Amino acid sequence: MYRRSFKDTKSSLGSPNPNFSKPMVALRFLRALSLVRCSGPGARSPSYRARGIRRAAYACMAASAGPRRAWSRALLRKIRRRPGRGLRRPRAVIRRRRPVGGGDPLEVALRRLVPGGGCMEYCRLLEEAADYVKCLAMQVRLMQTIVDSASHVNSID
Amino acid sequence: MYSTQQSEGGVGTSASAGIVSDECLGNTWDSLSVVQSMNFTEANRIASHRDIRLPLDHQLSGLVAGTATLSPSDKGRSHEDMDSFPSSQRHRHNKRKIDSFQNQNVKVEEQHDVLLESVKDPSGKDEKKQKNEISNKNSKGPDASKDDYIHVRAKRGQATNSHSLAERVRREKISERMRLLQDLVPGCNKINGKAMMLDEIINYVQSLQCQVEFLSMKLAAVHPEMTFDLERIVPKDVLQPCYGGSAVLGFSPGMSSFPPHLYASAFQRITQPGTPCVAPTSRDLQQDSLLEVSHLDQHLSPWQNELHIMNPAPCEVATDHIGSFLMAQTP
Repeated sequence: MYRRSFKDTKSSLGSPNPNFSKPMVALRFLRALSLVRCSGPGARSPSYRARGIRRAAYACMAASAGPRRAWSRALLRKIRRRPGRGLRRPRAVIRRRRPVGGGDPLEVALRRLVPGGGCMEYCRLLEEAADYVKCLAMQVRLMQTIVDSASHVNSID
Repeated sequence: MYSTQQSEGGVGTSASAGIVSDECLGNTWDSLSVVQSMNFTEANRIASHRDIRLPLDHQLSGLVAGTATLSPSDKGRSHEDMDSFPSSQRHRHNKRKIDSFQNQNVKVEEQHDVLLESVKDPSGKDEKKQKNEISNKNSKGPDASKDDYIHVRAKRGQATNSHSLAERVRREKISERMRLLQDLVPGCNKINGKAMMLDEIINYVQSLQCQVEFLSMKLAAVHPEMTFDLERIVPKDVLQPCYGGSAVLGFSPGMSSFPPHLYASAFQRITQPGTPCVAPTSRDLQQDSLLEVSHLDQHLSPWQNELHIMNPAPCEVATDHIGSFLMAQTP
């Protein structure tokens, strides 16, 4: 489906500087959207499509944030892991560097919200949360614009 | 043991090398400076990578370490700890710090700092070093250097225990991050407590995620009526760096009247950055955008591809909106 788009976007991020500009995100998102549509236009229920669109949104957000961010890596990992991969290859990835003894309920809640937030230190968590919030807000604005323009188009006809 | 005169001379030599700034020199005599030890080979590697010259002689480090200490007992301790600290641990720890540092994207050019040897507490534990890996602090002036260790300066009247210094730096780091978050989350200027701030942040993230879900459902409802023509477009150079807004539109021959309209709407969006919703478009604008889109077939750039996406008739207004949205957001 649109997994192809993830690989394309991921492999083309050769430069260390993430393509964190709105047009790039918009481009990726629209491309992912079109790929979502191509999978089966009439046969799917809207909820299935909604889930696919949501995954596309998160994926393009993470892909454009760049591989340097822990949350983008964790998010992409979570998205790619979903399609029923029973065979888990033992990659040499040390997931938990320091298991957190979460005393503060607020901190625990934040760790659950931010992708990849289980293993980070508190300072790093705050930093990643800031970046995540920024990306999320931009993604929401982008989607809002698309929805608005689409509904505007429909209302004109 | 190092005397103060030696340290002056040491610092002087480093100043001749152009590393130590004058204010840092002045500062060393005003307040204590407690810094961490450096493995100079590692630091030199980083320095060569980032175009900073570091002092090459250990003598300088030792001398400057002498400046950092107050009491002779501290001096003795620092001397011992420098020697006794195992190099393997240093290497490992330095590597971790290099990674974490490179991830932090600290700027090079604005940083001049005195490279001082650290004063280790007598235990010299490893976890203490790990706790001390934090951002640079200076009592006045510029940010710290690019080395993998943090230079911390204790202010007057503050505890100079390395424990408390490390904790203080950590607290400052956390508060700095919280300030960043405060800028990002709207409506958090009045909240001053850390707990309430965190609460707001959590609520905001949850609301953003809910918004994404809601919008994706809405898009799914609207989606089947839109026809995407991406196969035709096939963005060959999709992931090139984005062009400026001027390159995108308005340069096709024969459409002289179109650009001003589009730029006007784009400027509207730029001046109202907070409004994601649709700006009302006139009828002639729609027709212009249709013609514009058809003319853009020859000029293939990624942003023109964006416009092509909603090529069919009912969607020309969408292209206009998205195009101006994209244009407005280019830096």
